Amino acid sequence: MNAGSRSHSPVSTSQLPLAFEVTLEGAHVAIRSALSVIRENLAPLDLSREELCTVELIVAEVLNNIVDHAFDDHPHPGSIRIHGSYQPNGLKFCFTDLGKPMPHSALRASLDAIPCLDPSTLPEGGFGMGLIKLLTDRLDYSRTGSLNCLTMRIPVGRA
Amino acid sequence: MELLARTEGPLQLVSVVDDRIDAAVALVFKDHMRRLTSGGTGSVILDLQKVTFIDSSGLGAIIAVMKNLAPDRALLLAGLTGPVARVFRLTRMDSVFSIYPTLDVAVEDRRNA
Repeated sequence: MNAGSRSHSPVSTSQLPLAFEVTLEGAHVAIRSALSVIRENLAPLDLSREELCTVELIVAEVLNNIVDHAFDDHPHPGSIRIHGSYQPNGLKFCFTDLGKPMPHSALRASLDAIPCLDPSTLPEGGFGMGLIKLLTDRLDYSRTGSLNCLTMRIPVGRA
Repeated sequence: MELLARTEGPLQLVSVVDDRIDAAVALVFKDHMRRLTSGGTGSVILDLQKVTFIDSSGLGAIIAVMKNLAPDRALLLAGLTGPVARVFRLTRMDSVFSIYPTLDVAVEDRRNA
């Protein structure tokens, strides 16, 4: 477990901007404590319970995807770095890792494409990216050398 | 991952004791549910009132449990908290499952079914 946090700027209950960075080991077992650290970092924003749930769900889905796909069968699964910052137009996140590249087709996932008429044909996965797309905007993926970078904005707070 | 199971008539009631069904426990949850429900014949009601966080892996695990019980047995859900209900709504899985406000309401409904 290697979840830690360091603030780039002093965080106080009344002063914005807010920025933080969390680094975790690229493994499912590390995700819960990373989410807990992020919740602590977001405390000064006084987000509503529903907004906090949204942020937690999105971050969890992104981290799951990185662990399941970028680090799947990877000889040296490394760490994931999360940079979060709050601006008046919402919460911006940047996730970086050195795992395998994400196919651009992954970004085309949509919850609308999931058939839910016949329960026997329901998929047991594939909801993650659909949820991320539904609850964020300005979702962008880039690959620079061996670095994956996924950025997004979550319209919460005073957005 | 702790689950509490009991039977009530032909119904099997399973309560999730943990407050999260996420990627860290999804596989364990699925296997545990399969073991608990094997050999039974009636509907299974899954009580989620203590669960305050579910991600798509947890949702996928619940779908897998439902498919594993089908076609002879139904999986019914009860006691969804706000965040859990929201994930079911956003993914439209609320239209696939029978969802009851509480375990008692679910039991009562199925008893009269």
